[in-house]
Amino acid sequence: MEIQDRIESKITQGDFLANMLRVARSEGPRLQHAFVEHVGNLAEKLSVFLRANGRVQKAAYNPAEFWPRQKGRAFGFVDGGVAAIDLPGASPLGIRVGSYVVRPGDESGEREEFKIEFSIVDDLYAEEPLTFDVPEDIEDRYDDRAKLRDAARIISEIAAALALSRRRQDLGVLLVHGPLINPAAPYGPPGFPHFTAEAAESLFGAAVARDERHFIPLYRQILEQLKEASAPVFGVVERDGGGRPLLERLILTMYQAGDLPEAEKRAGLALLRKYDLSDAQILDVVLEAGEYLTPTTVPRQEPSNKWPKDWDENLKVYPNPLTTFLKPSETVRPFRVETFEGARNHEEAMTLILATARLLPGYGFPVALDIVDKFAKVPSWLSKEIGAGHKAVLLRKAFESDDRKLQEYAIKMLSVSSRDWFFRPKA
Amino acid sequence: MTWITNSENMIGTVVGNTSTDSYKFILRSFRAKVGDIVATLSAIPDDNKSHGNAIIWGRIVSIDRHNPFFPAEAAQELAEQNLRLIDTVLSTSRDYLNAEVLILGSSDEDSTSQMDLSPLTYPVQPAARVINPPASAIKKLLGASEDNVPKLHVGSLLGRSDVDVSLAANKVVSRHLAILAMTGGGKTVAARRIILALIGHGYPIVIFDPHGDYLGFYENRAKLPPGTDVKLFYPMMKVSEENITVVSDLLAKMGRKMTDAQHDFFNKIVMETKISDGTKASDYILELIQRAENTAAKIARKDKEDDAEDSPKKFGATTVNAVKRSLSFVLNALKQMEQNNKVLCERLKDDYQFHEMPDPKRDPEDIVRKKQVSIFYLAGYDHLTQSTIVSMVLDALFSHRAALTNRIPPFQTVIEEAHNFIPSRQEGTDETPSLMTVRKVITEGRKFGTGLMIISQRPARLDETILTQCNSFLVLRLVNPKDKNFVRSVMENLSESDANILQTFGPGQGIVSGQAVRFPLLVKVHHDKNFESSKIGDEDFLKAAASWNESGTRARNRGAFTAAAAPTPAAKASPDANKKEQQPAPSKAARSDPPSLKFSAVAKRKR
Ligand SMILES: Nc1ncnc2c1ncn2[C@@H]1O[C@H](COP(=O)(O)OP(=O)(O)O)[C@@H](O)[C@H]1O
Ligand SMILES: [Mg+2]
Repeated sequence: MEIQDRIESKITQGDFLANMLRVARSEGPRLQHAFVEHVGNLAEKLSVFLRANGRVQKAAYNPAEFWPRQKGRAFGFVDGGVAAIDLPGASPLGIRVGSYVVRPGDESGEREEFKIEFSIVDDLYAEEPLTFDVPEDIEDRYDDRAKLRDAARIISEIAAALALSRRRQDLGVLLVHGPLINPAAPYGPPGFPHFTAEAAESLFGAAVARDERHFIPLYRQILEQLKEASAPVFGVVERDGGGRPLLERLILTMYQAGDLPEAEKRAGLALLRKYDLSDAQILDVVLEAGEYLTPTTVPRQEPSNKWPKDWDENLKVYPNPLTTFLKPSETVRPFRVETFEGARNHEEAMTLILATARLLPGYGFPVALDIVDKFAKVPSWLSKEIGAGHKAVLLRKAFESDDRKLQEYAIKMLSVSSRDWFFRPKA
Repeated sequence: MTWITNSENMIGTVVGNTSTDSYKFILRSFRAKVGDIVATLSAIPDDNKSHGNAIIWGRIVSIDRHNPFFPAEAAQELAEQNLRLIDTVLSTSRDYLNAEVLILGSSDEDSTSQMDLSPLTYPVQPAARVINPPASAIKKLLGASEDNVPKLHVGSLLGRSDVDVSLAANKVVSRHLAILAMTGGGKTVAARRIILALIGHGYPIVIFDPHGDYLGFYENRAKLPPGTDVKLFYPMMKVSEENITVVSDLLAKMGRKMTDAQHDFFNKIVMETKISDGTKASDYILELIQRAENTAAKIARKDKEDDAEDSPKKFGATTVNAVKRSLSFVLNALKQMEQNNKVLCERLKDDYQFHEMPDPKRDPEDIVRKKQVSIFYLAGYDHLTQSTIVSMVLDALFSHRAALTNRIPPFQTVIEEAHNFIPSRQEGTDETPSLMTVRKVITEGRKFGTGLMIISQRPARLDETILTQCNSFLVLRLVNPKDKNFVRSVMENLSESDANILQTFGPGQGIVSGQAVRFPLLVKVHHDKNFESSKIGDEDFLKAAASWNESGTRARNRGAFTAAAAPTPAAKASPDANKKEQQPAPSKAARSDPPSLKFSAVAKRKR
């Protein structure tokens, strides 16, 4: 499909509508035509530019030949889910991180392994007071519960990947649902609590020194360990995060290398900014099925002026992800793929990612990540038949037992909104 | 710890809304099958406003399986790209199994010896653990511990060969049992099993066997318990002083209704005709017909003379002729039956010893006797004859029981191909005298110990009154929707899912329900291969046709006259027989040429 045609089809699909309306203010009438023309122009230029510089690669999709060839290899997939729980005076969490390992072509009962790597229902954080006590000095508590939860999710997912890579030395590739490396700075403001010793130990898989039990150093340590794992690890990002970190970085990198004149760099960045399309949106019309950009390192912890002073030494040495976008098929938008710098067998892994994404031809996302996502988010006892009565029974049972943890769990379960995934019916 | 609390026996967790009739649970992979008996522990309120634990028993009636991890989109891609799921990263192992359980009842948690089922009065607790009970517990539940109660062993629980299934013998013999399944479902095998169990109790048995399915009992009688006698009967109607009504019975059963006048005339000729005991009914009828002819002749003469002195013109010619015609009709049927008997005895005489059927009115003891299996072999007789025999025999035996004459013990009657003997009204019941007899036996039978076992492959064609009187059912594979619906309508406690499972049964697999069991069970009937007839059964028709030889005489006579019309050398030179063989007739030679030659000849000509 030609770029112009692709843009036309996107417009009718409504993807570009928001951008179009924004542009419309400056472009006036003949809106659609102008938009198509201009974006087409940008995309054409970008396409020619990228290809001329050997920045576009292609992963082959020959499933009938590819899959049988994977026989005997093992691939791992990790994803987690968080329950949005809001209880007064507490910051409890409900997090489950699951893993799925599969050996294509294995006809034995050992073909698949599903495991809940982490199932966290208590506080990870060491800060007093404990979950159910009313804090004596509420002002003292770090109160951004969403941030606590995000930090816990981010670190437990990556910790699960680490645990899996240690347990299954036979993995050929390990895919994580979501970014491989997240910005850490937001979790380092003053007052952001440390993890408990037990939480840190279970996340890291070994005892962690008191100073290191904070998100920023612990997350880094886990990432660094994971980088050394025998299997290359990739983060596959389902949602378009917006912005153009990759394309802009690419232009800058080339400029810095002396491959791009200053004027061209400025014009290119200005063009990108003008139409305010995200990396995924632009690349959607630039790339063809199976194509991806040559991976480029994108600094993840920028900008450094926002680093919390306590942690800037740490943030300075954070690993950065090699980033690319892969367009799985003509009809779906590219998704972001991240790995560690220096990752081996990158091309081969891209072929695997493409093949697993093509197994969901309409959705265009690696099917095994979808599988582990469902596994982590749907507790095995949940079924479509569960009604309110069941919750009440659960609660009563919990209180009949002496298990405090179970009681807390039950309360948390009941306090979450019914739309939360904890109550999501069977898929 | 008892089995009900042992977590190793756990196979799933109750989910969703529960009731006192059913519940659903999430089943762990490969831990149970449809038909399995399962148990859960649940609290039930008692009379004292407190509550105690009870074991809730149930049977899995359906299992839904779905794989939430297998998106439909993926299936499409697999198909389009011709991929094997197993070669990809897709998952096959995380199926969700949603099982539905029909509740059978509850029993005490700690009943040690006996396990009594009572109806469940309070729903099962959601989230309760579902347990796969050990065989010993199920046996206890099925009543196996009640050792003093006589049982008829039929087989094992479907999918649990370690748990035997038996019928309560008393419920089978005093009530009635229907065995229903499509052809090949295993009805006869099941009937044989139950009969063998009854034989084990020395119970008298009468079998009406239209196909010879039960001749195996005779062939293998040496393997039966000592003292067991197997008698094979062919039908025969005889008259005797005690059984003077046999002819009028025959007339009635064979559908010849007489007017009052005809009755009077019939009685008159019967009175005038001397009976010597043991005369064949056919001979006797022949005499009656002669007498009727005489009377007719007399009437004709009297008519001419117009002199009505000692014989007032009581019987008109029409009456006399009508009686004569009816008698001839019955005579015809009897003659045919006798002819058939002859053929039958001739054909089977090497392997079987057939007896003339005893007169059921006069000698019921010869038919119903302890440790005796009486088989009425009805193959080859027309429908009316078969039905008449069943009717005559059952009528007489039942009367003996009902009249409390103490001449015969209680007995069990087996009716194979019952749709022929007790058809529903739509099937046309005119020529089926057995229908009324069986109806009588089945409605009053329990009082007199004349239990029936009814076997049929077309339940929907059976008389509904009779079928609803059956208190126990063994239903094997049934596919025809009409039959399934009919079975559901007459079996009170057959659930919809049970009805749906009927078509999935293999041979010998079925549901047994009713009074003979404590609750409906899925069974695998035991197959007594030893007692199958080796001679009668599935014939190999292909082989029979291939090795068919025209009777020699017929073959010799072929063309005896037609061929003679054309003068042949053989006909002219008849003394010279040798020559004839050396020089066969040209036409004959051409006919006996191998086909290949002919084809090649044709081919040549074409060229
Ligand atoms: N309980 C059983 N176990 C094993 N095989 C059976 C069983 N019942 C029937 N069969 C098989 O099915 C065949 C037909 O059984 P049969 O009882 O004659 O069927 P029906 O009388 O219903 O037409 C038998 O010859 C046997 O091979
Ligand atoms: Mg049969």
